[in-house]
Amino acid sequence: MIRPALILWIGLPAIVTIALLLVSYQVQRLENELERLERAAMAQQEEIHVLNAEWSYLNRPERLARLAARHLELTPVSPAQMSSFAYEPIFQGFEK
Amino acid sequence: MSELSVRAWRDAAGEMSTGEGAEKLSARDARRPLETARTRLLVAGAIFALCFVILGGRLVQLSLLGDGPHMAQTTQHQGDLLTLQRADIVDRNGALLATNLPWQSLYVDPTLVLDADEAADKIAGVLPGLTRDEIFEKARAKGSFRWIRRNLTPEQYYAVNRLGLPGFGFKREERRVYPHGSLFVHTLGFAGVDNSGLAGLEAARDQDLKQLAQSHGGALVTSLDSRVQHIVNAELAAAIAEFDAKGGAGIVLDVESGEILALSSLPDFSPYDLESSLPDHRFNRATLGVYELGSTFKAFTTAMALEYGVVDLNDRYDATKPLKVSRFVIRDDHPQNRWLDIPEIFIHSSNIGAAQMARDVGAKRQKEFLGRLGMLSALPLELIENGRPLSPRHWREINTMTIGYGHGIAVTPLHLINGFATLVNGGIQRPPTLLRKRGEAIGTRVIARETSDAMRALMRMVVEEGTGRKAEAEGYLVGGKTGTAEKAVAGGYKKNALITTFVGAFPMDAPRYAVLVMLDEPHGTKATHGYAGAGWNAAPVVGRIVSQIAPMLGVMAILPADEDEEETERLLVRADGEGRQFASF
Repeated sequence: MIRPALILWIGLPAIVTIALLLVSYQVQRLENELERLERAAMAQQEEIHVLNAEWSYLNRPERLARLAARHLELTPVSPAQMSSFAYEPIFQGFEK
Repeated sequence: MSELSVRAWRDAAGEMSTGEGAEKLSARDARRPLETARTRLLVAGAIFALCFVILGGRLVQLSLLGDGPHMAQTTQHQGDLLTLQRADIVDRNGALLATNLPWQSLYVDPTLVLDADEAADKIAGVLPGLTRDEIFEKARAKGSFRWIRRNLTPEQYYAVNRLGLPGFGFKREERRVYPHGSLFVHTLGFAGVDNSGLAGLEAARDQDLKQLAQSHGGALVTSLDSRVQHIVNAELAAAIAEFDAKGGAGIVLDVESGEILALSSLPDFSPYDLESSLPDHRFNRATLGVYELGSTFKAFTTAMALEYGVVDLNDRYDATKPLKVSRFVIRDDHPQNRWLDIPEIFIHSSNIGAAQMARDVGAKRQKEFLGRLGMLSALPLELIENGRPLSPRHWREINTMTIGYGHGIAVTPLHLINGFATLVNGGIQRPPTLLRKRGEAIGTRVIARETSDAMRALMRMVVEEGTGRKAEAEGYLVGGKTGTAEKAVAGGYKKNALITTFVGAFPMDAPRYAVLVMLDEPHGTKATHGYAGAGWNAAPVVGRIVSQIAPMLGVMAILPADEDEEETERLLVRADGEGRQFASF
């Protein structure tokens, strides 16, 4: 009569202990993974920051003007090329 | 068990059995200790049960319900964000103007170096500019720390790392980087090696930049526009070269908000190489230098006289001959030798007329008016380089008259353009700013809207038919005023050393931006027939700047010359239903 209860009370802690052990190993693994990902994310952030600076450096108006003059057949916009729908009689009245 | 104790146990057992026979216990007395034991067991059981219930409850709370401090910690955990020591500075469109970049610096710990000879050879091979012997010395030095080189480029860092030399290590440092180089050096200033601002906006907003760096991704948003800045800088540099000037200043200002879109002072310097820069190059001519800016002040005199009702536009002054005031003689640079009305005085830039106008307004009112325009005190700009205007301590009648045409008072070019913005924007004075403003900027009214309207018309006339004709940018209705002044030196004025200025705004039917160009000691060229006046050198620069920046800033051109033609063309297009061909297609 005492046997099943005894088995239960010895078996239960054993199962719980093993489960706890497994969970704690899993947590440790996940923590290592998290740390690795965080380091990678930080490195990425830093890289993005540096690339932003480089992007700005490459987009210097002076450089763009130089490159456009060398490679593109574009000239500065003349006043006659600029207009707005609001200024064109054909579109007037459409806004309301 | 020893024999003695066994005997004692037997004795005790014998006593008990004999005692049982002698003393008969009642049934009730016999049950009492049993009941006591049961009660105690029950209490103890209840306490244990309670403890287990508490433990169990806590277990459920922690694992299933999921509150408590650890859970909050877990959900809040999102990883670290990149934190730098100084926030970025960006322009109004978000382009990066200044940022902190992580750099690796190479050091050596001589106690860990295995083979200094080999190490020196290898490092000298990948780091140009360092000699083998230098590195060798450092690798053999006493102590445990020597810098080899600060701030390596990423390629150099990679190359040195690849050598895998023991004893050599890297330290991460931050360095301020300006992707646009010297383009903004006079506005942004620069930061030192310890990441503290030493000049310009970097110094004036040092604390803000350090605090902003703590909030991730925070950046200081300036009112500057790097495209406009580039155009102003390039045109100013071209003019300085063409007219062999010592330097110059250029400013573009939003007349409605006081925001500065471009501020250029040339010559400039590299923010990375201060040691080799000249003090003159580090001097900000646009905000720190104060100059007598000459005839441009006639705009203030005219506005003042109109505002106080001293004159109206049809009044006339005698400009037939030079004006004698005590021991001074006031002459005109472009003498008309006749009576001139107010627009003529303004358009032909008559000193005689402006001096008389100022005299009629009076010293007290002139001082008060210029004070309200901000001409008598330093501007509250976000720089540490803010010049204080020079004005006479005793404001006598002769001072009043000379100030009427811009002599005897020295202000910075920024003062001048800010005053012009007030004249054309309907009469509201606003402090200029380098920071992006959201919403309506507050200001104080200095002149009435009617006076401002009259000033706009007068300034447009200067460009249409007066001294500022070369400032015209077709379609953008530029208006403004020229000013050519001899440079003040100790005890008088220097002949042939001029400060030439053109300051104006566009489009004059509804001004949006004010533009100023000032040249320091320009010279005449063949193309200008030897003339060095503002109309010949400063005005055309403004025209070129306006025609380039107006399309960028969304200002529409109005082409008055072929207006009628265009109108008919448009009507015809509408009649036959064909779409008009846009010039940009």
